[in-house]
Amino acid sequence: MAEVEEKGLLSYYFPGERIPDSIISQDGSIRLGPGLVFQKKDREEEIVVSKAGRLHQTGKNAMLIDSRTKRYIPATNDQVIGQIISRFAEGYRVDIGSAHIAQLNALAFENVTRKSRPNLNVGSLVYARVSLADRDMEPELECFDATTGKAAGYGELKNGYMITGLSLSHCRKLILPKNTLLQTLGSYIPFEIAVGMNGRVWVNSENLSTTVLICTAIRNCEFMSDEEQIKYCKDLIKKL
Amino acid sequence: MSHFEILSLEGLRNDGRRWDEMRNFQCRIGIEPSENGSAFIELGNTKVLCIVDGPSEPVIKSKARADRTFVNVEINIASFSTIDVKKRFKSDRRIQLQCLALQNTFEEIIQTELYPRSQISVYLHVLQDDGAVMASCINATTLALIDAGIPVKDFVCCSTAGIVESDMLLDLNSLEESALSWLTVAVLGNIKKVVYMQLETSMHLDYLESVMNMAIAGSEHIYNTMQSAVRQSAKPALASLS
Repeated sequence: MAEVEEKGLLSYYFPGERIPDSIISQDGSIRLGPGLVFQKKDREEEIVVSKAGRLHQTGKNAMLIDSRTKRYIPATNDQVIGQIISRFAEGYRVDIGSAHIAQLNALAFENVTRKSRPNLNVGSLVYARVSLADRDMEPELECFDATTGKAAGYGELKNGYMITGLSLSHCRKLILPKNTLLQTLGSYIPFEIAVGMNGRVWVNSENLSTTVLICTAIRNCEFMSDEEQIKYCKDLIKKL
Repeated sequence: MSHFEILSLEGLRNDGRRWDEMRNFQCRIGIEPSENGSAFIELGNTKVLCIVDGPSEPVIKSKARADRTFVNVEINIASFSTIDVKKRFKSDRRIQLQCLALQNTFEEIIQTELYPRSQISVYLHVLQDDGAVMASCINATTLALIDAGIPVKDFVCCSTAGIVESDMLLDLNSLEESALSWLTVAVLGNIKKVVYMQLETSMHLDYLESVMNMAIAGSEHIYNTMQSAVRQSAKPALASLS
């Protein structure tokens, strides 16, 4: 474990530190993600870190700092879980945990006309896609897949339980197609899950005790390795 | 209070430290899991808790800025924080000036242009006051902002230094602060650029630079401790990586 820590800490950066030239790809342009800033200082160009976290190189020329942030910043095409806080003439105002309240148009659902609008109450949960995320405008949501026009899992989330306060990096891991934790739980318990990129997860299963078990597993498995996650899930299911 | 009571003939202060010795500095981050960012700092007997919330929608709409975020700072000094138990109100002019100083300092450090029309709230709770309160508030705010994942240009590390006759002292406690000329200096951890300096008492110009350099040296020690605290908080996440 100590070896892993030391290995990880080599790529762990603090605010104000420079990214060494040896890491930066010299051919072509570089795409900087969150946590990195390009600075020109005394005719020298450098990439400076602005968040404490681990350096991720997503592509050949793309870099970002992966930090354990809890506050969500909307980005286009992100899947989010929102809570309706008010209604207005053309739709709903939805809290997605970002700096600004998002807007969900009443017609932004599958097969909806002006006469057959969905009736969502204040407090209802919706699984939606961020269709517009601009710095100078309020985020806008849609409850259908833009390419097919079908619901594709988006829409109102009925029953179930919503987990809040998860770190965004944990949610990014959960949303991966081959997530060890969810696959292990799924092999023992049938359940529905909606993972939002905004640090919220909605879980629904056949009864309350299994829902609580799944929520406990999701909360506690953030810092576990794949093997530890499998072992932890099996131990939880034995207690059920 | 005479010079000998502040610094004895053996060169020791009233709490047993030498002139260039700092008090025990400890910091923990992420102590309040329900909040976006939190930090707790102990500098000797001075204890400060900082909680950061945001970026969120501004409570007072008129304070929202179209091009950048607004940093709101609130300092709450507990009535039991000092020997004399007295209630301190937010309307207290001294507290308001401290809030304004922190606000101006951190608006320069935070990349405010990334979050237009929003607000970052910093809540500071001084639980125990034994000198260097402003320095502790700055250090706690830096760590809480880093814990919240708010992009900052650098660590802001702060320390105090004072002078008694011709002897310099680093990191003053409340007894020394009440008797000496002293200043608070905050620097950026990496580039050692001074971002905040506060001198409330008169000090001879000949000594100013050397006292300032001493405070900067103290800030360097604090920077190393703060870095290790951030690294410590990251260890569970890094350990899970294979």
